[in-house]
Amino acid sequence: MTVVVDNGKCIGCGACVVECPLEALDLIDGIAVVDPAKCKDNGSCVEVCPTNALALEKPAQGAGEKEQVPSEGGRKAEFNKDEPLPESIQDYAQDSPRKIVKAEEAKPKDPNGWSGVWVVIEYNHGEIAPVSWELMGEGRKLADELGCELASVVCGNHVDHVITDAFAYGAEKIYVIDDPVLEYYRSEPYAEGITKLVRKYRPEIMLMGATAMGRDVFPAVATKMQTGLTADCTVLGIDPDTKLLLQTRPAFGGNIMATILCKKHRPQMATVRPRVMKMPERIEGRQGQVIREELGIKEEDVLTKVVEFIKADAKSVFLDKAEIIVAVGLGIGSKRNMAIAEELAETMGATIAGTRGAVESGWLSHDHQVGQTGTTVRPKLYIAIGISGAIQHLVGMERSDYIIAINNDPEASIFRVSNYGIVGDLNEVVPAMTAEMKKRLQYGVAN
Amino acid sequence: MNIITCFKVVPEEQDITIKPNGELSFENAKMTISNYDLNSIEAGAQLIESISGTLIGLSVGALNIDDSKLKKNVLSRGPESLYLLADDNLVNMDTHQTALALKAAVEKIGDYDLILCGEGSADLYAQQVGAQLGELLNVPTINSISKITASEGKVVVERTLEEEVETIELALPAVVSVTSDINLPRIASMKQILAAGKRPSNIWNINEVNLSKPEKTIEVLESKAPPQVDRKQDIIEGDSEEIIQKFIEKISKELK
Repeated sequence: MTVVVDNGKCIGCGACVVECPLEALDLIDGIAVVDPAKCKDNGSCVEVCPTNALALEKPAQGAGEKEQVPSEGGRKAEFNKDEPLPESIQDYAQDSPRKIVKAEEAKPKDPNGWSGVWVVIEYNHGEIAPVSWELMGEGRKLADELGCELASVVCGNHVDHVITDAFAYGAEKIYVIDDPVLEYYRSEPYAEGITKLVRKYRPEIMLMGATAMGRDVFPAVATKMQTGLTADCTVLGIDPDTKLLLQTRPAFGGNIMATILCKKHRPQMATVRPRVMKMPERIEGRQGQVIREELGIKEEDVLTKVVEFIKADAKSVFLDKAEIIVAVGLGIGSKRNMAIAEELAETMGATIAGTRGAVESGWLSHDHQVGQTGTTVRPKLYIAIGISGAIQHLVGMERSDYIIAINNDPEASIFRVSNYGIVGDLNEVVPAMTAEMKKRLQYGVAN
Repeated sequence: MNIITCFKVVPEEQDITIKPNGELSFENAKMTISNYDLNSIEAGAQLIESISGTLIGLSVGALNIDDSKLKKNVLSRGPESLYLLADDNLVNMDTHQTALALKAAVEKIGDYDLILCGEGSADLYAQQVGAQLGELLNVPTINSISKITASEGKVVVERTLEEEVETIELALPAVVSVTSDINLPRIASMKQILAAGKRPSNIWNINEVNLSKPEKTIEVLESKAPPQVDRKQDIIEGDSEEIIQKFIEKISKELK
């Protein structure tokens, strides 16, 4: 006769494992399992179990179980999985190397065992990439359509402050791996840590920003999971019939939009560029569940070392943060003509940007490039000077609030995405605009 | 140091036309080396020039990647030999399939210290094959690399992030994906092109590298020209002072 585990009640907290003097218990797949060879029925595990999942012998029926378990004056109430865990157990799980294993939550709604939308929060060098929150907004929509929960994944070193932010942006649950090995981003430990969470908690959909980090870690996770990954999605949705994630992304230089499905594999993984999705509202004071896991990787096992990092100097322009952008294309003709665009930009307090053609001509550095191979921008105002509107450029800027185009070719594609346009010689139009703007600003009149 | 530089053969972007139904036509599109992979080939060539070693070019794809002009193009840029896994079972692969095919070819080649990949491909630009290949080979891998310095048993690389530059040390063997800023690919001289014709190419099919046709992880539901964004499209013609004035009036009214 050995201790019997009721799998329906076990929450995998590990209290019994620690308690057993004979090491007869272990957690396997989040459930306590008894080794009959070692168990001597001493019953200390039954005492300590917070959910009455353990009994000294298999009860003939439900009522029998209560008789087997010493009730200690009714101190142990019947466990109800919808209620939060008793406080004492949560504390216990915090301190224990065997962290809380939410076996109940780990049983997904999806019959195939995969449920929930996860957003991996990018946290590196002490900063959270804003695209992480943009994706929480998008993830919320997907989770609502699927009727599942939205969770954040936070990996790093000393990341507790990120938890508050993730709740404020709508996470119902946050999976945390907090480990000194994750101080700086490196593919191996990050991919390993995230994959560990995925294998254990089985999300249906995973999203991350298409940043340098997202582009590095997601392919590694997808490969470990043998699943599909769609990079640089511009539209995400749920197919109403199949409930599959519809992932739309540009291909062939933006000439087509391809809608992609990941039918046979899980999770369905996608990256999305910064500023493609809208930033959701931040609501303070929201709460949820925090699930901590160990990384289980030692520093000496990681073959990559970050030697140093230099901040900010790397980039002199921040197109992504610009409210007004003055952009030039090959139509300006020569580097000399950059001056007229620069003057307009200076007058309006705008940032200068350019097309791939302008950058390849050496008129601007690569930092200034807008388009599929450059930065995606979403300013309030985008002034396109001498830009014909190649698709690869349009995909990088068509989400601007206002687009104004100046081009001498009435057939230029840029006019089709413009609010206002003028077909004329930019050498006439732009200086006149600059002069007019100066005049208006000088008199301090708005119109 | 033994370096393998991977490249993708893609349809020339300028030759792709859009059919009236919104689909793309590749009929007149010549096959060419993906733009971004010219940077990884150049990075490999520069490394070999700075330290001794061998540079091998590697590509996987359908039978049509085995093209003498393409081969010369690659070999004139530095690689001393070329390996192609050319098989019609490898047509229109997703990134996972591509990485599996590259892995099979790399294992057949055998010895390597460093594998270089471009930032992304000119056609799909998913930017994930390098990371997936590194994962499959179970070696360190990193993307966004804008500088590589090689030394004994390791490489020190600079990684350009959104707002900073990291210096990273990688143990070899490793897979590194380079940015399009890392260098300016050379234009081969006539002499180099002629010499390229004499350099060896090895063509394999999937059986020769012990690869079974890799399964797709994603499916393309549909591909079509992007929908037009709905804008006011208030376009006026002319650049006389009067028209410019009118134009400025319009936009200022709207913007304030």
